[in-house]
Amino acid sequence: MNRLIIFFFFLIFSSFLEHKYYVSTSLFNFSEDSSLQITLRIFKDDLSNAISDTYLDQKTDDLNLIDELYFKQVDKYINSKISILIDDKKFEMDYLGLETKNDMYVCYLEIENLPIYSNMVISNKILFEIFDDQQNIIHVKRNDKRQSFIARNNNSFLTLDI
Amino acid sequence: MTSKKTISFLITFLIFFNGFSQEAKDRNQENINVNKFRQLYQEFSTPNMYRTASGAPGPAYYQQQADYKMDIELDDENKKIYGNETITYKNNSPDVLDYLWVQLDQNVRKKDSPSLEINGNGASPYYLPSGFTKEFLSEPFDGGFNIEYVLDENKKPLKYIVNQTMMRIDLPTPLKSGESVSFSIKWWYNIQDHVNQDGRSGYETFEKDGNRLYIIAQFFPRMAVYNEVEGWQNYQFWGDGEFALPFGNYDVKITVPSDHILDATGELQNRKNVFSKEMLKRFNKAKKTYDKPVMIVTQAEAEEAEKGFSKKKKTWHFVAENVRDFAFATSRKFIWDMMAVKIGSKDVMAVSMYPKEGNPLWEDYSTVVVAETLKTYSDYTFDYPYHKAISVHAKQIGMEYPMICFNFGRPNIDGSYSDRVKFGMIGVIVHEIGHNWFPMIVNNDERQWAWMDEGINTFVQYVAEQKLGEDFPEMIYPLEKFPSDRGPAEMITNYMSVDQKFLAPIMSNPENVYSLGPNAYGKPATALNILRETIMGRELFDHAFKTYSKRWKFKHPSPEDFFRTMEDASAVDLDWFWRGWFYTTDYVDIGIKEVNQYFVSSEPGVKMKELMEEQGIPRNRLRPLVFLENFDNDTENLKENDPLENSKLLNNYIKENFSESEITNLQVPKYFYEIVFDKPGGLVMPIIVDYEYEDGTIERVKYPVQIWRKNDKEVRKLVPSNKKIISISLDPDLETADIDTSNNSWPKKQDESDFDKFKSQVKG
Repeated sequence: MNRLIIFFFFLIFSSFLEHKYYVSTSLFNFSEDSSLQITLRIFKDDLSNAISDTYLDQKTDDLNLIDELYFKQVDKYINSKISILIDDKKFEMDYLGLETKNDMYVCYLEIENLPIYSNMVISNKILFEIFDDQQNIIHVKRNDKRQSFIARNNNSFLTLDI
Repeated sequence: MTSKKTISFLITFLIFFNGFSQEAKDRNQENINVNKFRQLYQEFSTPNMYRTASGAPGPAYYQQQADYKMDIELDDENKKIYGNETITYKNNSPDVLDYLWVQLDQNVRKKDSPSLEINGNGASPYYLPSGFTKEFLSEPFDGGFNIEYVLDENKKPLKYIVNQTMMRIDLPTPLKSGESVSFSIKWWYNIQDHVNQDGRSGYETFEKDGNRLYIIAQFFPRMAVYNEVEGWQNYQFWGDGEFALPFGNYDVKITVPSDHILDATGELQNRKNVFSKEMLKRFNKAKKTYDKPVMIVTQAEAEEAEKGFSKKKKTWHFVAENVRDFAFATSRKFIWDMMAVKIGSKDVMAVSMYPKEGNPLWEDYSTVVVAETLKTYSDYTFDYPYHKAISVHAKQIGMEYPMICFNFGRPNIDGSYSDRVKFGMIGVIVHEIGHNWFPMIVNNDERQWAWMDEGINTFVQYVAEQKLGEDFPEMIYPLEKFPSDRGPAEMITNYMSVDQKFLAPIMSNPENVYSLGPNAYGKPATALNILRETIMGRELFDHAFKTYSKRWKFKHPSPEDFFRTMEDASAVDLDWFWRGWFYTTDYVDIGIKEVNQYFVSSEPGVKMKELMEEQGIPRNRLRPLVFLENFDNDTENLKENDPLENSKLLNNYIKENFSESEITNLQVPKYFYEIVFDKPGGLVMPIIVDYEYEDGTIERVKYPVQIWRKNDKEVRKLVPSNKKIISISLDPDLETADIDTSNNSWPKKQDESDFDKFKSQVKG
């Protein structure tokens, strides 16, 4: 599996104009030790606003504090917006933390010891409650197989083929 | 004689081998040429007298001209625009025109417009309250042009018919080649709220002070393009596709409330009527100030004006020559600053208009960025030919018109802003000002080919942004490079590796593309950057690009003209590149499949023995040869020996054919590496390799892209060396947009993933 080098987001516009772009990327990687590793890349100010709106009374000033002070809230937020259904049962993700890369947060989560299953459905609704035109790219990787999907607010579920 | 037999055997062998592979290929592909290097004869239009094979305007090239004389009034209270115009259309084509087509872009907003029904997304499982209200509870907006009359030059009504966003005027007398015709139209329409209703022009209402900020474009019925590529450009305006417009001269009078600040395309003719004495003084100072913007209207003055709501009116008169469109911005909220910029032998004014909500970001950066963009683009293509360039602050918009553009970038209410907002605003200003070149002056048909201006402009934007970061390190501190979001090859790999069903080729009509952003902006910009940095090199690329820009300045190029010019002016064959990057959705994935090592031997190795058996040649009939054997078959441990030791034949040959001094300088390779490169991805690219030797040196080799011409799946390179190679890296600088770099190293890198690194950091 090794490394899929993902540097920055690409811009997906729903129209011609140079709109501000509302995009996040999530990578779901099946690792060799039967765990599912999830890496979520989201713009710093978007995640901060989402956490503030949902859980706090005022907007955070220092965005770098978000991890230390708001670990539980980020965990709660992501787990409420990204759902992984294995054979129709929802599995919570273990939130490991996040780090800052330029103007983005990279959040790491995992589900260890995946059971043997017959079907998996992933949905990613991050930021849909704030932006109408938010697009969340889902990349799934298992060994050499890949599957991608762009989750939008009218269609955010991906049934895995790999 | 053995040698004759050997030779004939070898020849037979070669022919047999080549013929076999050709046959296999043909059988699979039904006898059509699918080689990735085939020239684009079938895709390109045949060169003709209008557009040459080298990509330049031909001897019979023509373009039409449309001149406009307009009187416009903006009713601020009722958010309406009233206008009447006289259009003079010159037919420079060799054809006789029986009818003319006029574009009515506002009709995309008519209550019964089919463009409202163009998306097939069905029901959404949930809605935001604002979305639900918009979709199900609102009155439909009464948009679109209301045409009061269409008259000929003698004030007689002309016969016309409206087909959605296009109006056909049937000429009573056909318009012959070389002739002009004039007609007048009177109209009005409701301006829409571009924040809540979408669109690339309109107004924004500021609830706090009750004022509106207008950015007005597509506000008048205007001529469609007639040319020898499309005939009349008659593709409807559905919303995503942009515009095809002829050049012409504009004479426009705009009447607005007297306390509005207005700027537009063109030279202001009646400055003394609309500027106060103080403003005139400041303006004259700005004309001579080259280092920082001069305020023509300060924030304090704008905040005062916000309370005015004057019932009086003022008329601003503009004249613009050789432009393809006209737009203006007006509001009593505007702060206005200007600065002079030296472009070639002339001075150009860099101008910004913004409400207080844009500060402090706008007063800090907008005009400076306009000035730098003018300089960089002028250097790179041709000198900016107009007298001014304006950047207007507008919420959530990025849109371009000749000499004026509308740009987003609004700080928080307390004046703070994130890096994303700041660099987003700087980037969009560079991009929109850049559009003055592409397509306002190098005037392509945007409705058919969005990428021709968006992709080309985004590429030059990247070059300009990087220069901005280099020239103004304080603007980007603490970053070391401007954080461009498009340009470098590795940034497009995410998009290109997405499920094929979401991808369309760049050469697609913009209305039919899923992800227009990356497709029309990012991917072509990246392709051009790759051409510049990796395929052609900066010198050849920059010269060809400048040639294209100059050839088509104030003309209408088609995609072929660009493709042909880039090749013609550089002698770099690019058909394979245009084909792969622009006509398909293939991606790049090249890898090192395996590395085999060989040593020199005096005895035939395993493969050689197989060959001999196939051809029925016994050992004693084989002429003296130097053999290469695979390390895996080294039964006698000969691989570490000096080759001259292993092959007496070679040793003797050298002794017989080289002088003593030559022999001492001879470098006989001891190590033979056969690198097998495979290509899981469809696109062909040059193979760029770093060979790292045991003595620490690194040698970079670039195998030309033509290496793939006879085998699209796998190529092998034999690398002889007298030093051991300890590692091989493919595309070490990430220049080729390779979507998977896990197969780019030998030995294969067992790198800890970013995920594992973070996890061990956190959990130990």
